[in-house]
Amino acid sequence: MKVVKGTDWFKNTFDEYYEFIRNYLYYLSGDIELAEDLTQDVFMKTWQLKDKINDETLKPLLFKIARNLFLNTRKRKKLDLKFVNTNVQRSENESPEYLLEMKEFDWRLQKALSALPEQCRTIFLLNRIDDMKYQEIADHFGVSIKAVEKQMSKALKLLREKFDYKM
Amino acid sequence: MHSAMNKVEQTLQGYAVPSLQTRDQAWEMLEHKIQRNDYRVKTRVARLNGFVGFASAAAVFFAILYLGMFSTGKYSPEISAGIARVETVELPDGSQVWLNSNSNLKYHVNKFTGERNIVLDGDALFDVEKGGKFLVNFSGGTVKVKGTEFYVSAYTADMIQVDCIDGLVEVSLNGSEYRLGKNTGIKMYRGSVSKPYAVSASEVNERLDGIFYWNSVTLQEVFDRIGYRFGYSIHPDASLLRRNFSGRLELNDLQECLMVVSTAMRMDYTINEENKQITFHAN
Repeated sequence: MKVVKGTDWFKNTFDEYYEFIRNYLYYLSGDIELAEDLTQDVFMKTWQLKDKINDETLKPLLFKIARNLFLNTRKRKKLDLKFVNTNVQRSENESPEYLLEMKEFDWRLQKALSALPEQCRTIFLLNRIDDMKYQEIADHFGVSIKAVEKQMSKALKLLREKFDYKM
Repeated sequence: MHSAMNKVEQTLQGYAVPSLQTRDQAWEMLEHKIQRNDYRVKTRVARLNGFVGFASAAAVFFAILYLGMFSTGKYSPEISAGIARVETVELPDGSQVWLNSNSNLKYHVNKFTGERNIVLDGDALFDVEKGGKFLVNFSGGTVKVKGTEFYVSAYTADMIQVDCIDGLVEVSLNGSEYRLGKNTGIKMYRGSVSKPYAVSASEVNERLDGIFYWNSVTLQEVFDRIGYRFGYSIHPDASLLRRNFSGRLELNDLQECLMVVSTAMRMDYTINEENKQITFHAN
């Protein structure tokens, strides 16, 4: 029997995945305005397709739609991630020298993350910022855990190269 | 773990993605859009129908599906962009190609040398990931780069244009070699190669939206561009070919652009849909 999905299903899907998809699009684009805009499009598309969607493949489908919409956007500007650094916000009682050093390190890290290759960057950030397990990431992207591990190692290696010698 | 990497991990723990709106605000906006039912798939050519989104996705899908072909030495199947459409293609090395109207492309990656070979028939913008040699072959020439951003227009050996947006591009046209730096272009039109000229990234990007600029070129060149872009052969009165054209034309809708150019240049035109021919007469 065909199950017709309604507003409740859609709202639950939205609540569950909104941040993941928005963050993923941010990791791809480095542009929060574009990321939020495209996230709307992802869910509009999901609404249109809802009766054809198999719940078991919903997560990878959302990521796939997000990536396709991103690839079809107008020519993108150079990626420049600007995460909100809550450590800096929490350290207001620290000395100005410490804060300055922290901000400098933060700036270098955001640059280094922006420079990571796309797949490596998105996988690394989904794991570190969204706390996604390797298995979850593998499921979302339709790749093996081995492939996720490989991208994670690559990200760590590239970051290590940048930071080990420049501290 | 090294202390530097500890610091990286510690800093990462404090990172949060910035946001312009809360999830509730985003939901409210989404609900409103659904009610208005005003959804439109965003594509590079928004005016076109929803098939573009599907076709783009299909192009990317094919690009991925045929990964297996690299080890066999065969080229991928041809990827095409329809009239006034732009397809986005991601190559296996992460390089991006925006294939412009009425253009075709196929590619091959040598798994031993990492050399990437593209065969282009038409117009495309390339954003190449660093790596082995990246060669774009087209009728009448070749472009060789390692990692850069550039535009190639090569519907025919008679009208070739290469614009370098970033990095360094080596161009071979009719057996002669040229090196182009950032924001420089070169053109070969009917056997004659121009001097390198300055070109901006925004001008090149606009071509993907179907917007072209000309500065004192022959009408013949404008006719050729229209013909290749829309897939028509163009037959003007001989007297028209001596006229020069300067200005901006939007080439997304054939009737519209014919109307604009014919009004500006005081001409009449007739279209023969059966033979895909356009005839221009001076008026």
